[in-house]
Amino acid sequence: MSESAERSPVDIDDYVTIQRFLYAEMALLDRRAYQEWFALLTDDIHYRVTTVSARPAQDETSRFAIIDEDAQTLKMRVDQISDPNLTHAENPPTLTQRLVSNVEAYYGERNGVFETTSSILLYANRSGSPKTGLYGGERQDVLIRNSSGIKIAERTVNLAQTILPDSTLSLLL
Amino acid sequence: MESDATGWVDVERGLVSREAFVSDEVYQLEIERIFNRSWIYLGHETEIPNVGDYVVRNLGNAPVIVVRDTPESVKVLLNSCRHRGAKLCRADAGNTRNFVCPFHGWAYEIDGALRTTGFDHHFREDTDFSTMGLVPAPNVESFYGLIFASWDEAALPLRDYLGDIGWYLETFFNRTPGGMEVLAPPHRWRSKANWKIGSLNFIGDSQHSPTTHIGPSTLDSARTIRDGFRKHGQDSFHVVTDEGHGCTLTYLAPGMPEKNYHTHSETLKPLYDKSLSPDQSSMLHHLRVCVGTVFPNMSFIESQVGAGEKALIVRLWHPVSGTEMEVLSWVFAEKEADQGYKDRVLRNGFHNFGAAGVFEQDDMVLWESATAASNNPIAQQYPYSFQTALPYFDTPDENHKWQGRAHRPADTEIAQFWFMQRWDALMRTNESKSDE
Repeated sequence: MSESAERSPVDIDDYVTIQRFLYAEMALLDRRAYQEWFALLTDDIHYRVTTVSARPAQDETSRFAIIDEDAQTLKMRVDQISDPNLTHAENPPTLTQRLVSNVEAYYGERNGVFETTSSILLYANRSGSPKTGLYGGERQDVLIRNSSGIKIAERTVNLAQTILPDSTLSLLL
Repeated sequence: MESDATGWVDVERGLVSREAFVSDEVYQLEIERIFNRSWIYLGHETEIPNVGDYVVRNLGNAPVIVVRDTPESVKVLLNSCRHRGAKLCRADAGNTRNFVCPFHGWAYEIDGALRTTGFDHHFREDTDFSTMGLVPAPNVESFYGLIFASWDEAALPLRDYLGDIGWYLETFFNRTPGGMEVLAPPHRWRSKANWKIGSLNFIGDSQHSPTTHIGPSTLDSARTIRDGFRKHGQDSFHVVTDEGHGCTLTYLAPGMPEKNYHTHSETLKPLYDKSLSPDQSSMLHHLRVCVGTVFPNMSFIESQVGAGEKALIVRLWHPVSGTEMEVLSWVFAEKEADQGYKDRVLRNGFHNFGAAGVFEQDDMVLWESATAASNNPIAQQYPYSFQTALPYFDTPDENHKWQGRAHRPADTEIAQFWFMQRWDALMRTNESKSDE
């Protein structure tokens, strides 16, 4: 992704379109409409989630992936949590609310391509448990608009996390 | 808590008290009798390649710095200032020329020796500063890059402690001249489950796979994993070795086409033959999955279960309490492998077994439910069952050619009960091996 200084922010109409898309997309995940969500990804989706290894402040941040999927492997992940017979982690389902804010959107180098950053906070309460996981971080997306609407071509979720607090992450962000 | 003499394991009936899997008193005793006496895995030398590189880990429940103090040596130092206890290192990893305490400024060399308190002139003249360095673990040894340490001065040499499981570890970690390297920092997560469930799962819990992992095993039909598991019954076996270690090996069934699975990279196979004995080579040949545990809390798995390359993973089940652990998980590949291969191994490794792994996510919720449901006096009247170990426990495979004692069939609890018996013996041993 190029430096923001060189990129031009999208106009207000495009901004509202993008913001609506990002909200609607998160609502699909909160409603557990995982297959509908998957349909919003391009065939060459690159989906990553990273966490941090804590380093001294004078060192560069050490980020590494905990999820790094293409369409095929992400589909397996989606299929697993979509089918009540194939998941224990999401059966009973985790109760979630995803908050998206701080949306910034720029025109990409090609026509119809947007580069966005947004803040995400995933509130995740395991059913029947007092445990609530909070996963916060910054997302960097590449969105593509064509005649049928907007799709996600790349998503990187940089979690502000060194140790996952609540077991493993079976949810999508 | 039950008396030391009774223990928690009923050898005759194949039962283990649930208290062993939830009690904080048992956890405290485990720290004293197991974690402060055994060799504990801390990390891999390739995490700290340069002098001054360090990672922060735990040896038992004591925080330690694992630091490369010279090109040839690694020290393990208590991460607590000798003055007033603050941590010298509060990050997970880094590089330093010395350790300076941020609290009052005591400064140490990277081998732990005290350089200055900053106020040396206010100490009595007969103060021996040479005895005031960071507390070192008395025993630190590396086994093909795997760094282990022990607080017990009288610990067996590491190679003797590993014994026959060392032969299997050597096959995985020393199969090319360059050895293995860690591909990324370890994934870390907290789980409200007892640490022993992890060790038992990896030493040999074949029975959990069809139910716990119905998701990935159903969805991975392209790799015929389901047929694989069924056919593999007779080609899978446990190996148990002294000190409570063990592993489970699963091979391609006869007549099953090798192309159904990735085995090992063709470019690396010639390198394996340079480093491995003929027996070790045949151990690797056609191996589909090896999953094992080095007592008490290091596990390893080499597996090709999804689309993609076979990945070698090391796992640490660090106990936090009777009902909680912190898990660390590293992915390894051969140093000689090309970057593309390493990238695929890393991705495939944590897709299946990482902090968001498609296998791990279902394991963790079920382990947590077992721990939660057992943490009450009613449940604790009813011990856990390891009874499928009993009919086979005294009849090892006479034809086993390799190290350790092999047992068939693998869909029993032999290796797990082996682990629990070793655990119980140590927990009932009051005297330390060292002179205390």
